[in-house]
Amino acid sequence: MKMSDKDLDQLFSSQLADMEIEPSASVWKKIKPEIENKEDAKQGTLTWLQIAAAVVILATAAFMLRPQTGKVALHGEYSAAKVNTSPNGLAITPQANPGLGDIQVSEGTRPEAFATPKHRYNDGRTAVVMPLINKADTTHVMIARIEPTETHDAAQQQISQPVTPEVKLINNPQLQNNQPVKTLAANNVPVQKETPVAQKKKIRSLGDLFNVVIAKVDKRPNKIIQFKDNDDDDSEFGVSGVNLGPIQIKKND
Amino acid sequence: MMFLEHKHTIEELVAECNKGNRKAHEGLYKMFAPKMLGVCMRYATDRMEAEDMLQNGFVKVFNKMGDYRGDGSFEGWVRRIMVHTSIEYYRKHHKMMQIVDIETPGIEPSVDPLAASNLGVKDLLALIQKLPPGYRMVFNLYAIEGYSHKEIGETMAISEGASKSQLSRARGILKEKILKMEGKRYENVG
Repeated sequence: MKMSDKDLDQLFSSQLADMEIEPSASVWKKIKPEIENKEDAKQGTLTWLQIAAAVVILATAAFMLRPQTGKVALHGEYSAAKVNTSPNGLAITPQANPGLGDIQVSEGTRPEAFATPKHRYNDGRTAVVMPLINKADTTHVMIARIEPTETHDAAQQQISQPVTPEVKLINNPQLQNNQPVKTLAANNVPVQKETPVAQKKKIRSLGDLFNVVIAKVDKRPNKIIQFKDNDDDDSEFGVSGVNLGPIQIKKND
Repeated sequence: MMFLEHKHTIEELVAECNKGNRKAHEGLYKMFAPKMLGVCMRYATDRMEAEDMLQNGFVKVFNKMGDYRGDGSFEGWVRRIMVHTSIEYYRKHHKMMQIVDIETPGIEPSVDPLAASNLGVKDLLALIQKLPPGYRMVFNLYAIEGYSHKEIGETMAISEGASKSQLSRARGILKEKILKMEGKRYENVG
């Protein structure tokens, strides 16, 4: 009697389809670490939020730190001023458009840059000679004494709220004749450049790296975003502080 | 070891696994491992290979657990993964031996079905395991898993025609071997 293909298939299927064999214990021991590793790996990866934050920060930093070719206009366009001695006192003839409006301490202009062109008198007072506002009358002399109301350091910390030095006109007869003022031109003042504080601290973690970049851009004590720089905890990469002006969050550990 | 007492339904175990409960993983493994090793044994040449397949298959099951939508039985889903893993394993390890052209017997050997029924699980399993890997895969998929030639072709990346010819060769070899075994048995008895 011949066995048909169907019978053959049936024979194997009926006997083997539901066969059960107890596997050796080593199989589970090999499976277990593979599942656990997968779960640990999930925790180790950066969240999308963190990646997005990093991208935004790096893009902003690249934009802010791009090479600056334009001049920083701290002063007006006037150049040297001629100083004439006249019987009545000092006469300063501005050579160019005085544009005092540019000198006026306003947003972002450093008061110290404004205050520097000064003349020290014997009695210790200082004076600044400034060109006139009025273009028509260029012979007038204006001597101003600047009495900074803030110290240099304090002023630097409050860039956002510029300090307007008090400017007073002095009508001092002593100054008028005998104390010639040498050439005092505002644009002789060397522009004070901000020299970045040298980074002596070593970069030890990803968070550190971001902090350094952010520090270049954001000079406030509380940066717009700060990362953990904890190198003991090498698995940690997280935000430790956020400063969005009115909203300030800082994690203390 | 609360999960090992089969008190929990499969659905509960699956839900627990998806939450990351490792006890549930183990419970599910214990529940299905013997059956699935039975599946893998048919595709493997020996037990060692079968346990490798089982291991790979279960890692896949646990990783893809979230994909199981509850349509169809969970066991069927796990079984399909085991079958696919086994075929993948075979393709990785036996690529070179795919077509071993064994001389096809010209005449179909006649086998007494009643005599063949005396063959036990172990004998039949041994017969399947000794088939050339390509034949073994096709025979398993067609005769036991119930795949069509079209499905086998897609699963194994071969043509439908190749699937048909490999099945017929596998059957030929199996029949011949059964006949020989029966013959020996009769010789021994007689």
